[in-house]
Amino acid sequence: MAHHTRLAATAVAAALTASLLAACAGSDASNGSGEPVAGGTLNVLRANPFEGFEGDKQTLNSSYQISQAVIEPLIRIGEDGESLAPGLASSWRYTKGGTRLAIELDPDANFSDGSPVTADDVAFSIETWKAGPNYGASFGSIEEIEVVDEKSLVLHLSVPDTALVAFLAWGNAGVMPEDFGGRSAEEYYQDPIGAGAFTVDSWSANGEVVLEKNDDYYLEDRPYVDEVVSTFASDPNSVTLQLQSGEADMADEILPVTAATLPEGFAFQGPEHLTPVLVMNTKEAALADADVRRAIGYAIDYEAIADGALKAYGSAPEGSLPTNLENWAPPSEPYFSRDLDRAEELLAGAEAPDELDLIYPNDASSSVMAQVIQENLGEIGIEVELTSADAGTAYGAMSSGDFDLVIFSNNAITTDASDPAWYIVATNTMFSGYLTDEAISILTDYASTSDPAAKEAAITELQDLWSTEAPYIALAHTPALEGIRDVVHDAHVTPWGVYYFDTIWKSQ
Amino acid sequence: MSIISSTASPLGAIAGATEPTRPRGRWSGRIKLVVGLLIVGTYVVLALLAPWLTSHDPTDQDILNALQPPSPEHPLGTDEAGRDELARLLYGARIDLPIAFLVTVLPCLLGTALGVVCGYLGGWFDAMVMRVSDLLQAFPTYILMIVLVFSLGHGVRSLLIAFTVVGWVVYARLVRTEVLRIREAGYITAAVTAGFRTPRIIVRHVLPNTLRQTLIYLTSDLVFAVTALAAFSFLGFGIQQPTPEWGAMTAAAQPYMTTNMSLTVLPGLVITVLALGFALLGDGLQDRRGAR
Amino acid sequence: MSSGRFAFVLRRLLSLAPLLLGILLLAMLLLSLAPGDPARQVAGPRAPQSEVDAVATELGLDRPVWERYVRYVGQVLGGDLGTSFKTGQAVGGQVVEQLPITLSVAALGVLFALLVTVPLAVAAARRPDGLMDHLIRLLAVFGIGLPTFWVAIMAIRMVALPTGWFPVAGTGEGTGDFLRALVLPSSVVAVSILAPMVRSLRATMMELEDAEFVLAARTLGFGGLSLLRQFQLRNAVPSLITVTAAQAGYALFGTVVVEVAFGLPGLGQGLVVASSTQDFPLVQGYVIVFAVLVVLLYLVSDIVNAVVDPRVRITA
Repeated sequence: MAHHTRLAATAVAAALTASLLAACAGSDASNGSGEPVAGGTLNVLRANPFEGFEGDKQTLNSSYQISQAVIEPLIRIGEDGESLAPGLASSWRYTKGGTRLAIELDPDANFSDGSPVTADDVAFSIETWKAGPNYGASFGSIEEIEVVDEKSLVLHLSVPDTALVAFLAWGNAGVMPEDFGGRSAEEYYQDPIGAGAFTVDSWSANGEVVLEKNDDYYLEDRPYVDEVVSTFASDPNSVTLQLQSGEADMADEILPVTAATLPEGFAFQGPEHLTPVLVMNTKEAALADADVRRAIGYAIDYEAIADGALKAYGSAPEGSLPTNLENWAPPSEPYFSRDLDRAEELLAGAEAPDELDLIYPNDASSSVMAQVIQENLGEIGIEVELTSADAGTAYGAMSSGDFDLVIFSNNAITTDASDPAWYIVATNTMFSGYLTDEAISILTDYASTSDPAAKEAAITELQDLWSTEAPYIALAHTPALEGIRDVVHDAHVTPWGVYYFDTIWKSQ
Repeated sequence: MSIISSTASPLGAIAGATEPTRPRGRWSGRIKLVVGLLIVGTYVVLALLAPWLTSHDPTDQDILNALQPPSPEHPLGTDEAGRDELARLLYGARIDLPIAFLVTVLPCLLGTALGVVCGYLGGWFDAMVMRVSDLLQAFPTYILMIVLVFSLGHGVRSLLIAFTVVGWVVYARLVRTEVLRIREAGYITAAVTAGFRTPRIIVRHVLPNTLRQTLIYLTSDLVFAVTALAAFSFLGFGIQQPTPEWGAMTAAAQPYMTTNMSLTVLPGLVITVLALGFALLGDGLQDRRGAR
Repeated sequence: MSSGRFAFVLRRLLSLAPLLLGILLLAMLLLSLAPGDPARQVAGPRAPQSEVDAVATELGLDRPVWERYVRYVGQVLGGDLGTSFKTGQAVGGQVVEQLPITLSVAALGVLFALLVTVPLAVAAARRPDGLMDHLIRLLAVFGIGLPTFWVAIMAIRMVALPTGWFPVAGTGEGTGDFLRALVLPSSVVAVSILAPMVRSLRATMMELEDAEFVLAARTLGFGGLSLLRQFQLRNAVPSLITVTAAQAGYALFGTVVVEVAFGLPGLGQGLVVASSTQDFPLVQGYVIVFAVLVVLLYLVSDIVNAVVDPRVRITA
């Protein structure tokens, strides 16, 4: 599956700082510990093409991962893979009821050309992110950027936006030199300079991306490896073979089928978190009726998906929101499970569609999932036409509203249950075209309370709403899977599958 | 125009390589024809009898019994969605054979028609068609086909268009040359003065003369079609699962190659043998022509 | 070179101009049929429509086809193949980076094929209809029906994996690794083009058997078989060049499949990925480069033939 871990375009996100600091169970994928050894080349296989260094154009984990190694964001994700940690911003603080965010920059932070990272650079970067047509809205609450001195600035927010810090840690919000260092945007993105642990040696979307160690990096001793070579490899066999033969050290976002065939100890598995979903276009007449959508939900064989398509790396869905998050709560009624009678009943009173088109990402797991869904819907008299597409193309079709059904994957980028919920709302309820004020008001209530019970109640209410209306259906909950050889240490993979190259070292 | 007719198409190269043979060639030609016919015939029979040869539906999933080894219930095991592999291979003949025929016959018909019209009319129409065919021949066949299928979207319709756009050229040239030859030879003038109508002249004089060569091209096109269809499915441009198409089956089974190798090997083997059958047919025809 | 030959080469060169213009036109027209909105691709999936429209204007997508064509031709003639919609990288740069891999695989494949073709064809033509001849011809028939992608998969599974001699994907580091990585892919390409070459060379050699100059040589007392073979082989060179050029064109496609199967980052894999990610300028660039390669190939083969072959008559 392509995990479109994303930067949510929340119009106004309220909530959540407390939980950001709460460290959950660590997801340390290191092979034992020991003193880090410097040197060597890290060969990584990425699951998708690299979309280039322009943050606003990125939609795939493969892109964020590489981009953040060169153009590092302000804030880092901690080594537990879940909390926020100081980065280029050595500290940050909300004031005035959450309407001001004061940021201090690390005094040692330099761009790879040696020039210091200044508050002006950050201001320029924020303006650039904000102007992006795809993700700009995430920074929409920033009204004014007040540069205090060379290393500190204050963001003036239109509303209390405590979610903003999480976006500042996201891989495609990299800090760039002011005015792109005097170059045009095009020139800059072709050969970017950032304050990250690596510099770009060469890159191509579908081939190799070669990154060299940045000797001026502000974090001491990092990065450990001299070079990172990221190669696009979509074929699961090739991934397995290259890991086994040692041609590759790590393989990102590996498929369950790959994980299942790897020898013991090669596959790292995070907590069950990624949530593949079946998105339904409610703007299409055929899917406008919630009963039809619910019928589809009851027709699907979730056991077949979890055990067959995901090779038991996953379990049947418990609700529409990704699991293993702070304040997560199940819906008050059990979530969809296979019940053909109920599906028939729902369809009987509705205008049932005869034929639907299903677009799915062209990987082995999604392909089997799509075929399961095709067979299941056939059982309730809906013929499904399958179209496989490259992950980015499938995402494109979905976000531009040009589809009936799409298989997609949803996940959080912070530890709080409201985070994926905000994403779902901000994307017009997961691209389905179904959006009500009700969801927004539930989320606003959620943000305004600090009582965990009340927060959980709000999540249940939201889960109920999306079970009843079924604009999309969660198909399973599944862990992020990473292939790692035993020579690789201290890879801190987040539950959504992204990690930093700079913490990694290889035993010689 | 160059005197050396280079052709971008592998078809031309295969069909063009005539095989001069001695009298004994007639025998080997006949053997090849017979074996080729036997192979292709077997596939046709298997395609027709598929429902009686297996009790499984080739698209019936049993996902929890995916990737099973051979058993009495599933003689060749099950695929990644728990479908019966034997049934899929058998029913595959019902997909691959008709499509292969369709994508070869259509360009042949179009090419023949264009060749006749060009030969007769001459003038600007002929010139235009020939320039277009020059252009098409300058393009690498497969690349042109990939771009066409990419532009037109996945599926049989796109494959059909792609094969037709690329494939008509050889037939058109063959028939056009023959028409010109006959016109010059005066047959036609004689026939026309004798009051024969044009369609009849074509049927009586032009087509019979080109038939054998057309047939040889056709069989080598079939070889190409069978392997190319599978290649397109392999590259992700062709027919998709769960349709039991051999190329798509090979491609879909690839992730499971280390654990279930037969799922990759068998459909490939089935394609190879069918292609061999067509190749023998074409070769046999060629030998027999040479023997005359 | 006689003036006739010179004129031939000149004419042949001149004929390239309309061909290249046609290739550009075809590449542009074909891709304008493709699904998806190029402007949407550039702007990003979630960009507002106004942004998409602005991009369309900027790219000139709202201009009539002929105008875009003229602009495109000018651009390509100036050496600019455009920039990728997805990454903003120059298409030309990407192609230049991937070209060596594809050319190496194809060239090595053709070389391997030639190394096998000549001895086989000579052996077959030695005693027409002999056992060896039949065997070799049967092999050739078999070779035609082998699906290249399947041969590639089998080569990985049956050769690369058990022996561990060759990398299973990619080109490794350094020249040694690179050459080692090319052995299997090139062999598969060789297998895919071998059969027609063997058949063609064998056929030519047998035709020459009956040719006057061979008969003459024979009557003159050049009875020794080996000398005769040399004679024939030398005279078969032009047709071998022609069929090799045609098959080299085919080998370029073989590399598409082979590069995908072996995970080699060449033009072929690039074309397939660019197609599946719907990166129009990139697809267009690959198509043009492939077409130009084939055109050049035929050009070189025709010219070499015109120069080498004493028997070629030059006609318009």
